[in-house]
Amino acid sequence: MFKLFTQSCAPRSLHRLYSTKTTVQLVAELRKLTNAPIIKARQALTETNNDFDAALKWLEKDLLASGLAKAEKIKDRTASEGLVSVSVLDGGFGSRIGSGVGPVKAAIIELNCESDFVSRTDEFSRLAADIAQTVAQMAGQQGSASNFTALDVASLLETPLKSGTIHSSIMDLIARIGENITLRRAALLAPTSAESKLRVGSYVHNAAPAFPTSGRVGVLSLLSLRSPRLSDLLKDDVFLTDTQKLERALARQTAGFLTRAIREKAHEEDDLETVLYQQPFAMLGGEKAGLPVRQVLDEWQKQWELEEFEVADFVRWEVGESQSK
Amino acid sequence: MIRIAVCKAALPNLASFSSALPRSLPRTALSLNLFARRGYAEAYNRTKPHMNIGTIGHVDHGKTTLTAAITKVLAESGGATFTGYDQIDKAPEEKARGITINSATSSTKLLRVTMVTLTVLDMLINMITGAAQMDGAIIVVSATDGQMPQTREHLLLARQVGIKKLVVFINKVDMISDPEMLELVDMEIRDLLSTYNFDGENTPIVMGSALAALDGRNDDIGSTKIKELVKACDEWLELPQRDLEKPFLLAVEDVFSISGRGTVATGRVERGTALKGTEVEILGLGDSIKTTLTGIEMFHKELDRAEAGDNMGALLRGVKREQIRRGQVIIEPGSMKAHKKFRAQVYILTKDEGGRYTPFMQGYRPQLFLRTADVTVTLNFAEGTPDAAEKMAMPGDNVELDCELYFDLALEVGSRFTLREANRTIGTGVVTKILE
Repeated sequence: MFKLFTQSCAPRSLHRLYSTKTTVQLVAELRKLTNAPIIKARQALTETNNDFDAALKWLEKDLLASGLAKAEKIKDRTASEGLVSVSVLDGGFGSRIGSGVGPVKAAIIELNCESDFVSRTDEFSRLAADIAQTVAQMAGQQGSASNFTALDVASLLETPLKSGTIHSSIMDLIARIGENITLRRAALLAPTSAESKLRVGSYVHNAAPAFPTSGRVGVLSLLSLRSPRLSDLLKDDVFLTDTQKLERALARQTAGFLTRAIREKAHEEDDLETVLYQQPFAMLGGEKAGLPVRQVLDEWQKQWELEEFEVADFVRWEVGESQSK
Repeated sequence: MIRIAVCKAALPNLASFSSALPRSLPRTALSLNLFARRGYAEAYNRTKPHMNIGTIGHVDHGKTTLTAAITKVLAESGGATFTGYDQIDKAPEEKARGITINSATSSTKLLRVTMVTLTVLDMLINMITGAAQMDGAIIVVSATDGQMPQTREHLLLARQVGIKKLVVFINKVDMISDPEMLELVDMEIRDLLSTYNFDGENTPIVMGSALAALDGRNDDIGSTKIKELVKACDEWLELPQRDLEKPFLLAVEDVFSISGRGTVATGRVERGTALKGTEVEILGLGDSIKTTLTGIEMFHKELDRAEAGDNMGALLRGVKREQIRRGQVIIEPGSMKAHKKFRAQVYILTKDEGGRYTPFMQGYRPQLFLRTADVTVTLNFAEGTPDAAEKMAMPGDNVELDCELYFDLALEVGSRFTLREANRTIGTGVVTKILE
């Protein structure tokens, strides 16, 4: 059928077909650029008389449509693999991420797929990181009582991302990868506190080197501190470097242990190790690693003459945990 | 004998991360014994080559159909019992999916097709523990899609679990009418194979339709191609060296002094064969002694020959009782060296699997158990790991570690060990590189 078609088409495209590149080469190039299925890349060229640029446009449009169709077909397939991705836009007081004076702005999301082969691809990791970053840029809710705001996924899907929306980006990837991909949950951290200065620490476990903010377990932990001599501390490099180290260790600790609460057990039946302040601070390393977390923080508070140094809040997400098993 | 394992990448209800793991663990814990016992029980066909082949591919590209088609086509020549798609897809356990086939291409070979449901982590665990080790793989790619972004991950994983040679099956060719497009699929996959250090030029690529073979139509792309695929597996994939053909190794379990005879070391022959009177070397734990095997004893009988799987007593010439101890090995002289530093792929057991409930950082020092040896080891993240000082290993992780032993042990690439702490197995690993 294709042969008939090319024979009847204009001399210019015939010329182009035979003198420049063969259809196979064009298909190969289209695939390099888009990762589109072979059958689609071929169809794109047929539809556009082998005009490469037009075919590329056709394909981009079609990927969205075929993604939608595919998504509908496979929407019931379990997607419990994937990535948790965090994005810190502003690390808060004295942080080297963002303005350095706050306010804290960060986000955490979970993007699911069916197999862990797919969750390891660059394409999937990039999408997870892009979504987290987009969420972090959203405006926080004024007067919200909690530090973390769980976002409604359905409305979040309509948020602009790249040339389309989060939803269209997901559909596009479904068309290329052929697995069910879903945005499971998303939360925004945009706290306001009049009394204390806030900072955010983050940690992602099992991240690929190219995508350090996406992995199997993700943590955002919010620290609050108060001191009469804040402006001095802000200029003290030792303090800032050490705080950063401590903050990272705290986030790592939260991720590494099955942390569920800060001060008291979240549920009666929980183990004591689920309480952050009671855990031995193993992730700090060094000689203090055996001490309870709170004791290390107390010593730190005393050393720098702070009025307060607390983990105010945290979120610890693990891939697949929110789904019934 | 060839065994084909079909790897289903995370199918719904079957392979959720958590449900797959507990199933695979009892297997892993017993793997060494199971392997050996199996070798013993199947002594009758020791002469027949045995190979495990995995089938890897995207969810919709037809791995299950292909497996069913292989049984169907080979059933016609009396070499298999036909096993339908549903039977394979719904079989809950790896065991239940095992199918043995007589390959039509060679009367000496058997195909055992096994359908397994595995994720990347499961496959790595199997590689690390030696359970369901794969010697080769069939990569299934649909002609309509061509290779996909995750195909790269499939090849990477195949490399990581030690597969050196692959066969490619391009499925669903009846959906593509243009032969040039099939050439493109072929070309792309050869490119990709070369990128990941497989032999892209010579790897057999078979194009066909598993569904046509299963439906018994279009023999030219159906059954003919399935036969071609099986033939390609027979000819291209390499058989692993069998335990019997390897140099002799006995792991010393116990040592006795028998008056009037001398020192006897007992243990299991892990591999190879030894005749009475041959030269042997005692290696590990700081020592290396050359001596002669003057006697072989099994079940209170004197024998002339011992082979892999045997439990034996070895009478050693001129060796004092204090000169040999548990944890050392008796080997064919020079066939192995003792090392202190090596790199390993290690799986850290979860709390549910009896392992740790907390993570650990660099410098952690558990006990390493290798054969009968038990030595303290210092664990560090493999050299070149970014931010190694701040990195942690959590239960459930699969990590690359540089291990430093307190005493040297006879080991080589592929040696398997477990890590224990306070009478609890916390990890299991395989040596991937000797460092010192």
